[in-house]
Amino acid sequence: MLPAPNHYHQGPEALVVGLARTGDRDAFAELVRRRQSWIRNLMRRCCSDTALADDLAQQVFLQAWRKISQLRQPDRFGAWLKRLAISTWLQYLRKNDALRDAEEHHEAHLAQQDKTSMGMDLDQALATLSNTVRLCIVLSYHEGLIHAEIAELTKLPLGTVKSHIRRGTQRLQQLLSAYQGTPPAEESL
Amino acid sequence: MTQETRDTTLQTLFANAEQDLVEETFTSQVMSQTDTLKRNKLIGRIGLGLMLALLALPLQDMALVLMQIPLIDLGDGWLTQILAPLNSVGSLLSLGLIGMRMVFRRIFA
Repeated sequence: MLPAPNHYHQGPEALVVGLARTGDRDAFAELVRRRQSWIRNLMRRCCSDTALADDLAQQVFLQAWRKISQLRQPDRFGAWLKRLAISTWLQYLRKNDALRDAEEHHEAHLAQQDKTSMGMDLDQALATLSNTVRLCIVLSYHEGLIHAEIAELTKLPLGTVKSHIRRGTQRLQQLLSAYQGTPPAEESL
Repeated sequence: MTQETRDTTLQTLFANAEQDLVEETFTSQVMSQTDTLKRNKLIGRIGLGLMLALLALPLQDMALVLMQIPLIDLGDGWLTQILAPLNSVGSLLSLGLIGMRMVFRRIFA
């Protein structure tokens, strides 16, 4: 027997994904509720602009709604959603003038009030990196992906990914040297 | 096996910068956009259906004419009979459309 919509939040994700694949809107809404924070944080690290990040995160979920019937393995929903998020971000970069956007985002993120000081510093430092370097760094440090996975997701050569991460890490180390010895967070998503 | 090391300070910074974002209106905004998407899709399908219904007869006539124009004149032999389904302007157009669709899917999928 299928769970009632108000009990979806208790169900295992694979089951909820299976229901969403059949066109169940309540099940899909539950998936959005579960994954929104992760995808929004990922997009925020990518673009350093909370409003744009939320717009892009919405696009990611819309893409997911359009294509969820094509998802063959419900237990791979997270990885599939991450792939959609990265492809949405890459599409956004292709459609927009990267230099102009980088400048606008730099201005925009300075005015944001709902971030922690550490988060703001990190995003400011990330904004100084080129788009591809930033994406590689975010996928490595935020998502914990290995170089080969990043190369596969971004369609960049493995050597390029490695050099982007090396250069990006060096740059961030310089800019964020004040945070050396920061204690780890007690709880992270 | 290669060991990929990450800078521990940066790792900590990324972990600490992660916020548990409250959903507030996010989910309802996404779901309202899925409604719009569904409505637009339905309107598009109805429009396409109407257009096809209106153009069905002229399209059928045109397809019949195109299927009867041979690409190469092979005379009246058995080869003509065998190649008849492919040896027409209509089949060339069909193959062209299928090829374009495959290229389009490969580029944009």
